Amino acid sequence: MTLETPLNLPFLFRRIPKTNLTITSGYNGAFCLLEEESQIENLIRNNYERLPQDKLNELEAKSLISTQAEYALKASLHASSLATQIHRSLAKPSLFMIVPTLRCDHDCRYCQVSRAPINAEGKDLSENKIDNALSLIEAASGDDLKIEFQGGEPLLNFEFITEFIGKAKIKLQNKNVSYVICTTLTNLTTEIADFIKDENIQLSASIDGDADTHRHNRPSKYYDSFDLLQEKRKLLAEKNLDSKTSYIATVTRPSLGNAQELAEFFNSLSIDSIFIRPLTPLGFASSTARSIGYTADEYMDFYTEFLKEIIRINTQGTLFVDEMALIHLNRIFRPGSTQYVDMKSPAGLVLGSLIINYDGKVFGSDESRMLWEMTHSKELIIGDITLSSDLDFTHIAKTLKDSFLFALPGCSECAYQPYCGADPIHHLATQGDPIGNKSDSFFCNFQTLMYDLLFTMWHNSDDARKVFRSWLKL
Amino acid sequence: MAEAIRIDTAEVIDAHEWSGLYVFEKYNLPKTDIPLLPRLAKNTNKQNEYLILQPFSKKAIGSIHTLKQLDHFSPGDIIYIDGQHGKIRGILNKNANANTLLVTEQCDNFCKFCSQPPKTQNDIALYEKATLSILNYGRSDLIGISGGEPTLNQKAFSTFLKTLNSFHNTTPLHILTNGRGFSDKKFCNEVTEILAERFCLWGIPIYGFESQTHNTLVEADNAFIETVSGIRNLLGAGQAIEIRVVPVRDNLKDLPLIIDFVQSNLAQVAYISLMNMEPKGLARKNFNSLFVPQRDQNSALLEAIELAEVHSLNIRLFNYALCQLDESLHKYACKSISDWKNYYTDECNTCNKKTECGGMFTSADGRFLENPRAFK
Amino acid sequence: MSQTFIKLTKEKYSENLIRKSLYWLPKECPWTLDENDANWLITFHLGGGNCAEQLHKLLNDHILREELDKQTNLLRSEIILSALKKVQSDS
Repeated sequence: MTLETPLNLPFLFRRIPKTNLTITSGYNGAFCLLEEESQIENLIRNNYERLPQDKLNELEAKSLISTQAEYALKASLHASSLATQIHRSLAKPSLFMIVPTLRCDHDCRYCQVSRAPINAEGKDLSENKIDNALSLIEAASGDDLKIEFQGGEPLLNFEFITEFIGKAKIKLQNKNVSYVICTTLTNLTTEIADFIKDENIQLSASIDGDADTHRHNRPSKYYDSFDLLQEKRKLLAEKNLDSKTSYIATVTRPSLGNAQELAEFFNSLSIDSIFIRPLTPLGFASSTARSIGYTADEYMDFYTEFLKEIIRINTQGTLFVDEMALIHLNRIFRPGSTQYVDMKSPAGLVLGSLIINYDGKVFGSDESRMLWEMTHSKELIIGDITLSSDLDFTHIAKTLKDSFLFALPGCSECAYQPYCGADPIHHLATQGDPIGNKSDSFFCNFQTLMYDLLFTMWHNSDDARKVFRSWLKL
Repeated sequence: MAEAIRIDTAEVIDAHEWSGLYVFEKYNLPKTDIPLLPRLAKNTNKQNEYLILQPFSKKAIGSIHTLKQLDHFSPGDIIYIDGQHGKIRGILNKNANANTLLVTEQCDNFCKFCSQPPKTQNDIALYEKATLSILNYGRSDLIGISGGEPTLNQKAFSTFLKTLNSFHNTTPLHILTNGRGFSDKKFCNEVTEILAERFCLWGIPIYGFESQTHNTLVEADNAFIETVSGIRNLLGAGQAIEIRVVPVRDNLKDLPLIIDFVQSNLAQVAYISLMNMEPKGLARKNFNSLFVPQRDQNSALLEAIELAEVHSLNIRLFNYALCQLDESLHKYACKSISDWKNYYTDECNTCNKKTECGGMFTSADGRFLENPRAFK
Repeated sequence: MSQTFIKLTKEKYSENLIRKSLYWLPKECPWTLDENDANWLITFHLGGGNCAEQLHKLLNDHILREELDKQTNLLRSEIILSALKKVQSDS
């Protein structure tokens, strides 16, 4: 583009705080980082001669600006990209969560509504409901699906899991099914480990930090939660199941000052990735929130140091993946790839996932289940397998129709719109309405700061870019 | 021209009245109602004599003589006797690393590096030959369809596909096209309907991220817009697309921007192929203004490939010799050169990567050969 | 506790612009919006800080967005409509 004056296509922009970068992004998901504060004004006011040629080329290649002759073509290309994105989001749910029991052997500080005492009655999902559950899943799913057992502690109702998988082999034989069990691991026996191995099940376990941190966050009445976890990890290694196990770390307030130590600790565990996540103010009392909670800014100050340390570890030769960063990087660079249900537009509620609770009630997400435990709002329920395998979307449809980011206040002008998602349940729980005021939203602040961080690192740091590339390639 | 690794021609004498397509030795088909070609089969009683036989007949209606045994053809191959020039040519061969049929030499682009420069004469007979060849070949391997521009005569193109369909042929096709015809949605819908039961990969070149460079290289106005619209329409119809890019002087530095363009606008394409220029035809004529030595392409190729990897776009290198590429690029290089125009130099024969390397074009000899250096 | 008052002419700033900018002010800048015939009247209840500065930055960016929107609004609606139509016909 040399002689002609270009035209602008619709794009979004954001000045990234504490940097001189402005990110511009298009409905096609492409982004371009401008490197001087005045460049965005020059771009919008059509003073293209003040922008460097390589930037103009990049903007043109990414269809954020266009020649007159190509304008109609580029508009139609944006429409095709947007249609593809929406189409993908409207696919059948691919994640089905099942809560075999609400009973648990831990008393994690950030979990209140998701557990019941180990001997509680009436908190188990009965095996005679399996047929309805499978009928529901069979009808609602596409060709590929993941079934995730959650709780409580799923292994406390292991018989349900074995029965379920046995029947699923027949009922879901025409599908490509993978299984995950989210577990504290403390109830793992050799028998259970063998079953997990035979059925090729993945495990997802929590390890919040070193012994003190883990014991503080995830105490148990019955044992030393950290020591027993490490013992069970040895059993996993013996059975060659360590490669099938991934780890989650939930950060509470006391850890905020220990980012580097935490990163080093996880690296010392001989695991190859960690999914580190913040607390969301859902599911536990406000008094607890004061002692373990934090603002998005506080969390991201911690996380910035944490990620920098992880990058340092990778640069020194160890491949160690920060899964939270990778999810966001996938959203940026590989829009078709991620199935992370909390970050989709329209929302992943129902459209991405379903959860069957221990009492048979069916919800559109784990968060919905938690919110129901707190509020008992009937609108959140979309089915009940104690009655039938049918689903009723009447109430949910209203929520979903207001979860298209390009149409929502607070989101419609955000440059991260192509990469972010709607989380109506989070906003319903924290602000009382599914859309909420994004400037007050932990979810929005967290996502914004995450993308600010990742785009800045991608642009400014050769080391970070190299490490991110190596993760994307996996 | 150097000598190729697979010779697909043979000399023949006394063949003036026998020009045409033949099935070699025997038909590789189930009982069928397709229009069968005559057969050319060895006379077991006489050295270097081949008999002309009607379908299902054992009585020869004629014979031709060759200078050598036709060992390089396999039973079931489709061959062409060119009596006027005393040659037999392999058309569809089991032993070939790729089979491509030329369906026209007419084209509405005039790419500066075209190895098959366009001609204007009516050559509709080529479509008929292609139809008969595919129907008689009977194998399920992918067959390339090339030109010129195969879709330039839209009616002939559609008829070609419809005729194959009518005999229940489902041969998968790799069609090389500039895609411009598909900017017409009606034509696109018509063709994709005809292809409902057939796998088709469309190989479509883009030489720039904007109109100016692309149109200059293909010497046609509006080509870029039409090509990109065509690709968009084909993608919308669920078709598989291979974007082909030829790095030359004009567009080498723009390779990463072309990747950006594909990712931003046409992300659902199946492949991107970066293809080193073949020094033949118009490419020879315009050599000095186009040529970039393979060695000098490395940094642009690397940048483009890294970008493609980040976006998980499938990217491959075609027609590059391993000794000319950075080690990190070796895994993207394919053995892509059709064997009938492929060769290895004496230096190559001492190289320990010879079996993985695609070697050179037979047209890359003399001053067009870039110093091969064997890996020891 | 001193307050800060800001007056912005309605001629230059539309209501939409004012409200979008106020939306993103941080908690440290509690505000009230009033108006008369010619102007918007914004009160920042906690003095000091750089709330006025932040507001002007936000206003500037939203004016830029309005300008971009003028250039591209029709196209944006067309893109979204076209995309939704396509999704509808595909399903």
